[in-house]
Amino acid sequence: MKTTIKKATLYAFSLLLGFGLLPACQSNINYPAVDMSSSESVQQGAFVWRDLVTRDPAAAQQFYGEMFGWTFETIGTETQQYTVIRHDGKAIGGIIRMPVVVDPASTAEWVSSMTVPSVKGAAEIIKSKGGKIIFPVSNLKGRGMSAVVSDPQGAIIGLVEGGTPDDDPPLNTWLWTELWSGQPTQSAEFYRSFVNYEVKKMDNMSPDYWIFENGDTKSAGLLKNPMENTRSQWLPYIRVADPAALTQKARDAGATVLAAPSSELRDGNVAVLLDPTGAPFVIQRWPLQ
Amino acid sequence: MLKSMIKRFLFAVLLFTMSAGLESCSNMRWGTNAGLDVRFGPGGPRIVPHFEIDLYSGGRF
Repeated sequence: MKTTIKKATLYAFSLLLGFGLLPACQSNINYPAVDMSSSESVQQGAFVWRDLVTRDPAAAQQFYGEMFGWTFETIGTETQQYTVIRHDGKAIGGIIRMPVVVDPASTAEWVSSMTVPSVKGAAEIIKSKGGKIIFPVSNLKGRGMSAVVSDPQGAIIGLVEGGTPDDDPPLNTWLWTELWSGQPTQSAEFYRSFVNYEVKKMDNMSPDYWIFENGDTKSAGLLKNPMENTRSQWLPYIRVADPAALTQKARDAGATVLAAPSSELRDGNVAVLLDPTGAPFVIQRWPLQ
Repeated sequence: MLKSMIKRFLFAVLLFTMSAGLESCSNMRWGTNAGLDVRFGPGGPRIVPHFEIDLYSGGRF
């Protein structure tokens, strides 16, 4: 029963995300490039972009604007819209509108995009390993080759070519990306082969936690999904100065607090939130205190 | 007999309407069979997953 519900949720979300992105295939929208720093090196498996897929972009803009001082620029036409998220003038992500539906299972979600040498090749691997193609491989103006897929464990992920992450991001921008998987062992094995991650299990951690590394760079984390009966998903972390104060601010702005900062939860350095449109994300103080 | 059944039916309808009305203007929560909470608020119903803090060990190190 639970598996059926998870599959139905993934199917509904995939369908909606697909429909939401479909206009992009024929669009003249000039998407912002995914480059996050001035570095020329392309790092396979690095997370370089995030898109919020939501039914209520206006509510999302108000919330994230209040929380992190982000600004927004909507481009395209009324039927083919894409909202660029900026921090201090720099494009750091986007917002895509999902069509209005009655299915309550199709909640909003941040879709994180990783860089791969070839989107087309990566999409073929995904298919051969049991994943699904949600948004087909397309050459988006300004962005280049892109696709949205779900991995074999059901987590949705974007694929792009190029772009480099910012290892020391400014406050109120992306700090980390983490896979919350219903099958962490299988996820670790999949991403090890998919983007050549070196997967390292942290010592003396309970519950288990794995780091995805590329060379000397830590690209992402992995843990067993702590949200009951939800499918696997990639979550973005946003760097903040004061998690407790921002959690209260988020609550006042209509967010749901899944886990407030506490001494038992990474020494008060993190909080897990759902934005007012239902998308989960995490805020974290960095460096840790 | 029929009159009594109609009265019971109308009472049940009244109770259902009252509970629906109260839910729509409160922050009442429902637990669903799917293990998700539905929270009712000013923005309408919203799905909220159960979060198991004991299972969480995340964040950048």
